[in-house]
Amino acid sequence: MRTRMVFGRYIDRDSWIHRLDPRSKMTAMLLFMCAIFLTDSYAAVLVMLTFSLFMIKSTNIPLSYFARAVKPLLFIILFIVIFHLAFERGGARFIDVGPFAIYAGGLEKGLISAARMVIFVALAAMISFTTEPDRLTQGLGSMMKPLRAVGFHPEKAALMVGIALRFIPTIFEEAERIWKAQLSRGLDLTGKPLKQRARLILSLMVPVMAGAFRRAIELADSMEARGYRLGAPRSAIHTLSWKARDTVFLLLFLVPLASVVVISIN
Amino acid sequence: MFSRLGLSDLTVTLKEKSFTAIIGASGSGKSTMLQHLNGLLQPAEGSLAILNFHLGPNTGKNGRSERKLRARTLAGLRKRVGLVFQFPEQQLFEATVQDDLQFGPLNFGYSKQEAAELARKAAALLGLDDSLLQRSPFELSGGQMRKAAIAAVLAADPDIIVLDEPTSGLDQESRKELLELLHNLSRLQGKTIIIVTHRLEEVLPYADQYVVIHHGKAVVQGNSGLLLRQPELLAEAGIVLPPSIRLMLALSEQFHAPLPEEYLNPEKAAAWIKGLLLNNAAMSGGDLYAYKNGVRAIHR
Repeated sequence: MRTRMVFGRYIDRDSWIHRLDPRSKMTAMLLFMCAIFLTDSYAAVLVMLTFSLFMIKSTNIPLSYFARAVKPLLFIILFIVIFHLAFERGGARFIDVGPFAIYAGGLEKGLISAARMVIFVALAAMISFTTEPDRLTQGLGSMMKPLRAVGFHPEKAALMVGIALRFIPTIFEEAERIWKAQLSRGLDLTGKPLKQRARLILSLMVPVMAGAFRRAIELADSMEARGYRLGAPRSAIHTLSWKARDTVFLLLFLVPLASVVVISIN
Repeated sequence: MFSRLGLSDLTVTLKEKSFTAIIGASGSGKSTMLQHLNGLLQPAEGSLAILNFHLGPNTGKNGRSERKLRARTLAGLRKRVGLVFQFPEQQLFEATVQDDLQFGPLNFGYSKQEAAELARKAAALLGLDDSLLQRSPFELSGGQMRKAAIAAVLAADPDIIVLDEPTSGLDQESRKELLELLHNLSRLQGKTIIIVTHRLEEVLPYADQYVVIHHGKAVVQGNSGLLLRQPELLAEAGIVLPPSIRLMLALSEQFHAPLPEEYLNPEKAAAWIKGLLLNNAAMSGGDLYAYKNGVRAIHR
């Protein structure tokens, strides 16, 4: 039950990716994002896919976890594909479906967009799967340090992100419990018109929001009670250290980026 | 790696119109069992018979017609089995208490008027003042919210009311009040009350049936007399014996007297103790010295 929501969770395995510096993983993800944006052909998708599968394999985490991280987006992905199929008019005319016609260009764009989304979400999930939330927060804070010059508080932002990530599974568990409670009170969405469904969903949303606020206030109180002060300097148990493998990892990400650029230029 | 058998070989038969307590330490599977009672969880193997509803194993590979049938069974089952989760106040969501209380009845197909009437009745039953009904549930105090949430389940007028640790987080007075109310529901209105708790002493004065769950199995099933006779099983299941029971066990051993048939409330316990003492005095020639000795034995 509580494993349904996997995005944003840490999965403890022993792999070299787990041991990497979080900063290297986050920088690599930026590179990967650039590569994903430049992916615009089947060949590029193939490169990205191969690279992602290699990375996923290296984490020692079963592929099914990554599949579950992507699953919530299935609806959006499907929408994107259909959108492209219906409105793109490039390439050869494939098949006629009623008033619509499917073009090769539409199919290509649709499939590529879908693939880009799946690949990116899966690899983004890799960061959270392989990095403890504390280290992720620490890395984030460290990477945003230069922004302090423009009046930005990296500790604040890092703390916010860290707490948000930490609470994703908790809030989902709570939502599941409340959902069950409302089911017990006869909540039944099947066969109801959309407007009524939206109203019934409120019976889930309101308590979950109220719960999130309640938790947030309690957390803030308990942190302050234990001496946390915003902006005060804090020490860390584990300090981040950049090793040779981090550099190697980062350089590895130049491979797909370079390949995609080359493919795109040709 | 995530599949863990929650319950196995659990055969429990509960009487209608009774007050049943399901006791177990945390992690014993009592909450899992409770979620089966209105089909929120469904057995992977075996079957469930509640009232005249039957739920076979849910393989998840059922055909369309079977799914439809199951959905109908569940709707019917949930109308008659009300489930109060732990910390039920977290489920409140409407703009007013009145609306929240009507949510269940309206879902189960009552008309607007009927729902309003049911809501009013449920609120009165839990001693929620009429003036509270138009307030937002989020403005209520913690205790009032708990009552409103329980009233929201009672409003649908279920025949069986299942409660998961309903008293946790309440003060002593509210605990007693709530349990007495539930007791009255079963005694006067013929409702079946099933209450899940890890606090045996709390339900002892009220429950007439007990099920002790340990590692997903029912290890003891019967009245309070049965519990008294198997203290080691209770200890093994991680249940703390309340002082009143420990006293009864100690007295029975001290006086070599049989345990009472069932749990005794303070008045009955006093009479039982008096009987033990008099008996003891009579056996040792009826002198007052032995009687006092007996009293001293109790105080020790």
